[in-house]
Formats: sequence, structure tokens, C-alpha cells
Amino acid sequence: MSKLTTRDLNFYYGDFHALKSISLEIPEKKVTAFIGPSGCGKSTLLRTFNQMFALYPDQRATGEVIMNGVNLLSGKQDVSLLRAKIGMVFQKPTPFPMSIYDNIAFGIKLYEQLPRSELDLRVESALTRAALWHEVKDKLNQSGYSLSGGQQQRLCIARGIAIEPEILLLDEPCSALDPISTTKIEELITELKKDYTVVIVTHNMQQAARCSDFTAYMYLGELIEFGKTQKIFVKPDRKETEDYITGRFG
Amino acid sequence: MSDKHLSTYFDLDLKQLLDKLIFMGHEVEQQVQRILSALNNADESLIEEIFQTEQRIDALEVEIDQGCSQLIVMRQPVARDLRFVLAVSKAVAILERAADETIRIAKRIRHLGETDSIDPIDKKNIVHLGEMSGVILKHALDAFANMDVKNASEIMLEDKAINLEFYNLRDGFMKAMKENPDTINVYLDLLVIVKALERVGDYAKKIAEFIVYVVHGTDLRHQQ
Amino acid sequence: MTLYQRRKMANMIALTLSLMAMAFGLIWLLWILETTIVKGFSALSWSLLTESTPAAGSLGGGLLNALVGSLLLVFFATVLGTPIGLLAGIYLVEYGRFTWLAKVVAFVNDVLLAGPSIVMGLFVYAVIVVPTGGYSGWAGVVALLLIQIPIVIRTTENMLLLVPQTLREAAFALGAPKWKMILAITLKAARAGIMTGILLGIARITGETAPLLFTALNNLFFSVDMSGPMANLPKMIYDFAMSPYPRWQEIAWAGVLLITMGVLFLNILARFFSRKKF
Repeated sequence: MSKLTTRDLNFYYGDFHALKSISLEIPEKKVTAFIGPSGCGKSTLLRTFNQMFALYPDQRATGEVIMNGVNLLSGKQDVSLLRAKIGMVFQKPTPFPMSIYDNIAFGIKLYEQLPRSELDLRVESALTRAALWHEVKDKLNQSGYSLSGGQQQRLCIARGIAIEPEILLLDEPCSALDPISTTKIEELITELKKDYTVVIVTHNMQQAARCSDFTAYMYLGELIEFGKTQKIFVKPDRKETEDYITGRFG
Repeated sequence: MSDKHLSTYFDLDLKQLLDKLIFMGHEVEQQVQRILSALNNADESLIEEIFQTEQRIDALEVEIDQGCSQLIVMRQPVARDLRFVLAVSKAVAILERAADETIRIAKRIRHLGETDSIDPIDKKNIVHLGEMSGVILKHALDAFANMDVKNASEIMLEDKAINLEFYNLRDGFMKAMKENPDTINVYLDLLVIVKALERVGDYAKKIAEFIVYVVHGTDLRHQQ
Repeated sequence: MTLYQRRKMANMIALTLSLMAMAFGLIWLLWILETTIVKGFSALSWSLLTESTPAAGSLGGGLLNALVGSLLLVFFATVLGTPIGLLAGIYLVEYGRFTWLAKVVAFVNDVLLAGPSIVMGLFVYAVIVVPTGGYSGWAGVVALLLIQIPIVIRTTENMLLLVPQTLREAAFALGAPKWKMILAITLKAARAGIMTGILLGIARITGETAPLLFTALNNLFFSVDMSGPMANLPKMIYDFAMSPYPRWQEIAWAGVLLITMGVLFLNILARFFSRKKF
């Protein structure tokens, strides 16, 4: 079943046509990877899902992005509530300038007024699900910046899932991390798909092969091929896809 | 888009792998030719050469397999490259088995001793089957070297012709054995020989199937 | 001579020249400090802090009136200027980022920042002192504001611009409203830098003489009445140092020492804040 559907989605940075008529269905509770060379529009596509582009006056999208039967681009949606349903983690870890505890509590407090004890439980649960609890439980009051890069990234994932989103968007979440941290995040992604629909943008094709169920290959703003990851990496339908993933691109 | 990798060394590695496989295939082809000569004239030194070549072929099998695993470790091939490496790895095992068939035949020839005991017509038919097996092997290797799918389908037909030829010979042998039980000793050896030659044709067909797998990604094995 | 030797030689020459340049600058600085300390230290006494400036030609007295006056002027300028500068800086980065208004404001602010301080003084003289009919502490505060606000705006702007955009996006991605994002995330992330900017702004206006020449003027007597002329350290130093009376000259040097130490202290404090990261 598809969780998020785009129909004839076009995106513009000023005059630049960055996404060209993208139609695709993101399956629910699966991991979908977007791959493609730099500038192909994969991050842009991700950012249309949670309306991040709306922060910038010269960026606009046309077409439909449908979640739970509602077109998110209609402008009738409350953007803040929408973003609460679609969590996002960025390429560089972005801990907030506050304690580890407050990093998680910040998002929860935006939507719920909880007594301290209950908030504690929610923070612990989010950190546990992000496989970080055991590493930070004794230093919850320390700054988020005191953690290593990989821990910071898991903190950001914990922060994202603390508000119980339906979809989790990951924009190259491992590109600044060492292999061990990367493995932990990939493990986590596989865990997370039990509860969430995960969309990951990655430059690392092995990563897409390792942890995604579906893969979309994009090039120059177009969706070239979308299909099961196993199929894409063994026998893609389109020659362009095959050329890219085998390194014959150029 | 070109057919070359961004990494020229990747291309080089793949080409070396293919070159070695084709070289090994050529060795197997020559084994078949030697068998055909030995059928005409059971020269002990020729039989000896066949056994020695077998050792070289075994060594090549190990070497190419190592090349495959090294390439997988170094390049993590995907899609066509992955299919190609898998195909080479399997084709190398198939070629080795084809070579084993020639050894089986060589042993039978040695067992028969004087090939004069073979009926001249039977001998002519067996050599003909052997030539067909040699040709199909050559075609399969040429097609594999060029990843030529069109020739691959012709090879499937060639294999069918070989099978028919084999059934004909087998039926003839059975008939001859029934008519003259004294010849059973000879015909049992001949049966092993023609079966082995037929097998070589089967192996060539399998190699042709790998070409289709590499190019189209479809697995033709065990399909009628 | 090989290429390598030539390179070594060139390096030696460049190093020598830059060391000499540094020494040249440092000599003047140390000289100033030395003179300030030697001349000012001998004039230091308790009476400086307890008594107002003496009458011309008489002995004794201190600079209590100038000290209190300066503190009041700087205090009001800081209290009024910091929020204005802070809010304007926030507007420029967080709200007006891509608008023409913000571009115009930023440009005008740059002009103000580079404007000579005497111009600010004259401006306030023309629009406040003349219409109200007299010099006053408030006029001095306004003149100082015109110098301090651009500094605070500029530092706030720069420091907020240094906050990575992804940090803002991360807050928005959680569905945080803008004001919450600014208060909890960007201001917090930039607070060390902003604090440094405010302190440097205070240090700057503490030593300004020109804007006070035509506004707060001076007052030989102790006064906390902001609507009348106000004694202040820079102007007092200017007047007393030029006077023929030895005691006045002495007090001027003491004032120089106090103001230098004050500015030094603020700079060190600013250093401390700028190094402190969350």
C-alpha cells in the first residue's frame, strides 16, 4: 500500500525546472531509497514531501503530493501539523544548542503538555528506539554537541521519531559518518521500518542496496526508474539506470 | 552514455577475467580435438597429453575463480557487472566439467586399446558427433566473448541436433548389442564416449544460457 | 642559488618584514599603555571616586561626576540600544532574509556603521539639542545609540547568519513555529557571538568623545539629571588634559587609565564569551 503518492509533480527554483513531472508511490512501512548523481533532484523531491521548500520565496511546486488522501500542495494543510507527521534528518547532524534531553523534549513539548515523569518516559523511549539510550542515559543533561557525529545523527533520528511521525525522511544521513556509525544507522533504518515509512536519499549505492526495499533512480529532474531494490541492482529495466549503478555514467 | 566504466581499471579487470575464461575454453576445445584424433589413432602420447592438459585446465579454473572473488571484493559489481561476474564464475565450473568429460573419454579410449575393434561406420558417426560438440563449444565461447545473444539462441538449436544424433547412436549401439552380445564390451565403452560428447554439447548450451542472463537478466535454466 | 634556496631566502625576508611591522605597531601600543599607566597610576586615589571635579586651579577633587555621568550614559544607551539592535538584526536574518526592505536596512546600517561619530553628534545637536533648547544627558544617550545600535545589528546579523540553515530547517521539520525556532534555536546557537557584539558595542561607546561634544556636553558638578548637561569621562579628559592646571591634567590621566582599563576589561569579557560555546 502506498503511504505517499506524487502525481505530475513539478518543482522550480526560480526559473530552473528541477523536478519534471514526477509520479511515484512510496510504499507504507518500507524503506525507499532515492539515488542519482548530484543535482538530479532527489533531495529536492524529499523536501517537497514536508514542504521544506515553502521557507524560500523563489521555490515552488506544482502537481500533487498526496498523503492520507489529502493533497499537501493544495495549501489548505497546516504546514506545522503536516511537518509533525513527516520527520526529517539531514546530511550533517543538527543537534539543537541544548542538552541531549531537551533536544528530544523540544519536539514533544511543541504538541503535548506532559508531566515531567511522562516526558522522561517519552525521551527514554525515543532514545531507545534510536539505539542511543545506553550511550547517553548517564549524561542526558550534557550538550547535544558533546556527542560523536554518529551519536549526534542518532540523536536527530530520536528527535524525529519522538513526535511519532508517520514518515521519516533521511537526507544522506550517513555521508558525514564513519563506517561503524553508518552500520549502526543502517541497522536502525531496518528497525524503523516496522513502525514508519522511511525515505532515504543516498549517494552510496551499496547503502541503498543494503537497507532499502524500493529504489528510485533519478536523473536531471526526472524519475528514470522505480522498482524493488533487488531488481534495480540485479537487472534494472532501463539502460540509464544500469549505466549509473554500474559506474558507466558519463 | 558509453559502455565504458568511469574506472578504466574496472574495465581492465573485467576484460582480463573474460580473456582468461576464453583461453580456458580454448584449451577445452583442443582437448575435444585431441579426443577425436585419439579415436582415429589411439596414440598413448596423445592420451598422455590430454591428461597433462587437464591439470592446466584445473589450475585455470582456480585462478579464474579467485579473479572473480577478487573483483567482487574490490568493485562490488552490481547489475550487468554482477551478472557477468556470476556468469564467469559459473561458466568456469561448466568448462571444467566439460574438460572432465574429455578425460572420461580418454580413459575409455585407453581401455578400448586398439581402436580398430570399432566398427568403421560407428567410428565415423562418433567422430561426427565429436566434431559437432567441438563446434558448439567454439560457438558458445565466441558468443560469450562478444555477449552475442543472437548466436546464443542458435547454439540452443545446435544442442538439440547433438542430442538427436546422440539418441540415434545410442539406439544403434543397443541394437548392435542385442544382435551380437560379444560386442557389449566395446559398445559399453562407446556408449560412455558418446554420452560424454553429448554432455559437452549440454555444457556449451549452459554457457549460451549465461549470455542471455548477462544481457537480459533472465534465467533460462530449467525452462523448456 | 637553487630554487629551493631562493625560496628559503624569500621566506626569511618576508618573515623579517612582517616581524618588523608587528614590532612597529606593538611599540606604539605598549608606549600608550605605559604612558597611561605611569601617568594615571600616580593620580589614582580614593578621592577620585568620592569627589567631583575640582574648581579650576584648586587642588584635590576627583572625577565622581564624570564617572557616574559616563556610566549613566552608557547604561541607558545599552539598555535602549541592545533590544532595538537585537530585534532589527533578527528581522534582517530571520524574517526579512529575502526581501528588498532587509537589503535596504542592511545597507543603511552599513553606512551608519562606517559614519564618523562627529556626524552623529552634530545630527543629534541639530534635531534634539537645538529644539529642546539645551544640552542634556538624553541627547548624549541618543547620540551614543546611533553608534551602538548599528554595531549590535551588524553583529546580531552576522552571528545569526553563521547559524547553519539546516538547524533552522531541523526545527521547522519538527513543526516548530518560527518565533519558537528563533528563541529556542537560532538565538541560543548565536548567543555567545551576540553577547560579544554587545560588549564590544559598549566598549566602543564608552570611549566616544565626539558624539558627546554637542550633546551631553560636560558638567563640572555632580548631577544625575539626564535632562541637563552631563559630565562624562571622554569629554572631561578632553577638557582637562588641554587645561593649564596641573591637577586637572593629573585627573585627566587618571580618567584615561580608568577608561582604558574599562575598555580592556570589556574586551577580555567579550573574548571570554566568544570562546564559550554551548
